Amino acid sequence: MIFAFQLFAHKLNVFCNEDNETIYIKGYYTKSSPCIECEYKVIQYNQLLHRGKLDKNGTASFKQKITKPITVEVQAEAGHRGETLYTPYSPPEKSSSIHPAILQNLNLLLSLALIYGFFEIFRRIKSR
Amino acid sequence: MHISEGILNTPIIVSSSLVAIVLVSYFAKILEVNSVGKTGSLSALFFVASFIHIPLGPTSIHLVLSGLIGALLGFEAILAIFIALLFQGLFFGYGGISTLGINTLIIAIPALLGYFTYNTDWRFKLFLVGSVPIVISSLLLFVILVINGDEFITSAKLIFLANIPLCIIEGIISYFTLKFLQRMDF
Repeated sequence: MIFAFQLFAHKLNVFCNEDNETIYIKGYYTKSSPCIECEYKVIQYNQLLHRGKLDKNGTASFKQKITKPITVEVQAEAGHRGETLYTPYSPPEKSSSIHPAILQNLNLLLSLALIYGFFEIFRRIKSR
Repeated sequence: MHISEGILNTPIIVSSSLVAIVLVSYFAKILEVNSVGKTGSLSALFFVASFIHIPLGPTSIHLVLSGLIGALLGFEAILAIFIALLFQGLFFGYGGISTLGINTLIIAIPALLGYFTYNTDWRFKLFLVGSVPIVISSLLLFVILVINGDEFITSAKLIFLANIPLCIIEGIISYFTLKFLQRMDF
C-alpha cells in the first residue's frame, strides 16, 4: 500500500495542446512539480516528428502544423514515463455544396409534390 | 406541438399508434372521391403552415391551422393531418415516425372541434374555430407529457404557456379566412 502511494506520488502527467500551428507540451508530477530537463518525443504513426527537452518549468513548444493525431512521450529520470495522445481539431467536411436554405426549400417542394402525389394516387384507387 | 422521437414511453407510443391507425384507416376508407382533392390541398396547407414561425421572445412558435382545416374538412381532417405529419417527420424531423400516432391524435382530434364549432350559431364561432383546437391540443400535449414522467412537467407547462399566444393568432387567422370564404359562398 505504501509502495503504491509512492508510485502515485511520482506519476508523470503529460499535457499537449496546439495553438496557431505551435505545439505546447507540459510534463509534471502528481504534486505539480515540473518535470525539469525531461526528454520528450513527438510521434505520429510510428514516425518521430520531433524530440527535445522540457525546460525548467517542465514545458516545451515548437512550431509544427499537424492534421493527424500525435503521441507525446516524456521520459524522466529513474524510469518515470508519461505519454498522451493529442488529436487536432478538424472542421467537419461540407457534405453538400448546396446552401442549407436551398436544400430545405427543395425538401419542402418535394414533400408538397409527394403529398399531392399521394392524394392523386389515392383518388385514382378510389375511382376504380 | 409535435412530440419528437425518443421522448415517450413505449406503452404510450404503441397504444396511440394503434388508435391512430384505426381512425386513419377508417376515414381513408369512407373518404369520397370528390373530397380527395380538397383533403390533399388542406393537407398541404397544414404541412406548409408548420414552416411559418412566429418569434416569441427567446423561442418561436409555428402555425398549426388545425381548427381551420377541421372546419373545412370535418372528419377527413384526420387523414389530411396524418399525411402531412408523416412527411414532416420523414423529411424534416418534425415529430417523428414512432410518434406519428400520438401527434396525429393530439392535433387531429381537437381539429374536429373546429368542425363542430363552425357548425354552431355562436357569435364568435369564427374565432373559436381557430383558437379552441389549439387550447385542447396544448392540454392534450400537457397531459401526455405528464403521464410520460414527472421530469417532463416543467417542459409541459412551458409548452402550454407558449401556445397561448398561438391560440389568439390562430383565432384571428381562422376568423378572417372563414369570413372571406363565407363571402365567397364557399
